[in-house]
Amino acid sequence: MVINDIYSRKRSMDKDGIIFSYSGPVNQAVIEGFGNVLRERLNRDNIGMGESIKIFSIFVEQLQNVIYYSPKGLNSNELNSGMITIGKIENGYFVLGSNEVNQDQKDRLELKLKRIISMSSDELKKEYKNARKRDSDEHSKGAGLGFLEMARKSSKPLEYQFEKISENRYYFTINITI
Amino acid sequence: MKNLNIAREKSSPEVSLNADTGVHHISGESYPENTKNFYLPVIEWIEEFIPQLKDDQETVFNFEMIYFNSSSSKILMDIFYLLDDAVAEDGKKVVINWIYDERNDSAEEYGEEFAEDLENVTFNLIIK
Repeated sequence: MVINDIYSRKRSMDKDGIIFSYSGPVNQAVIEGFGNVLRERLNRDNIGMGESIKIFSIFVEQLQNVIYYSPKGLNSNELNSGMITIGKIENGYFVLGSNEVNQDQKDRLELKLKRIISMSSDELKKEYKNARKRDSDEHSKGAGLGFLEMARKSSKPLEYQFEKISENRYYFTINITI
Repeated sequence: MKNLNIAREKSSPEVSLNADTGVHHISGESYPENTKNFYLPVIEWIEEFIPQLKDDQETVFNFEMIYFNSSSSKILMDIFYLLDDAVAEDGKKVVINWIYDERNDSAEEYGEEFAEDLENVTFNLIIK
């Protein structure tokens, strides 16, 4: 890779307002370490505790989703790999997360997300509380709750996309605006 | 009963469960790698502690959570239900204080929502 290419890539990212970007293996240490840096960076923008915590929480939810939902046995070299990008835009910030999923996950995610997008703020709150109640049979790691929480914190309906990579492999991206 | 003390870490809260004073604290942030594993000893401790409370003995749980992820939110709800049951079914005296920084509107909102779903236990929202 030529130096010129890298700098033009950086300029392009700057133009998009990107303040933080990571692509690689995701584990708890990544979340904790980068989380620190992210919060310090946000503090410099003087956005206030409330908004800073919101952005951090989306960051955590997206990366923990990568850890929990990485398809196992798909390709052992690609366990727990993901991308997270955070940027500053005119009226706020965006948090873009992505990772590979298989067909089954794609189908289940799409069902969940289609539903979430159609819900009003009150409906989201109701759904969130229901999912959190005792005896609610969510997947052990608070699955559905994560997306509901992201949707509730988002200033506009969350955006998502599935790009087909090959048979049984999709690249899933979710974008939250705060 | 032995007290349970867990030191605060980057992604998990400080836990101080005190059988002698009956005043307990859980504070910090919560987004551990495995939420169930982290909170299991906490839940087990509370399950052992509650039945041996005398009728006139009040116990107070102070929660000061700055940030917690969705898995933690579910577990916190489970803990609150446990305490709610202790009041409703066993007549125990339990108070939960949800303490938050005025500037932390997420924490305030979560506190209000927890309170909405708890019918029996005293749940106070307290600004730090």
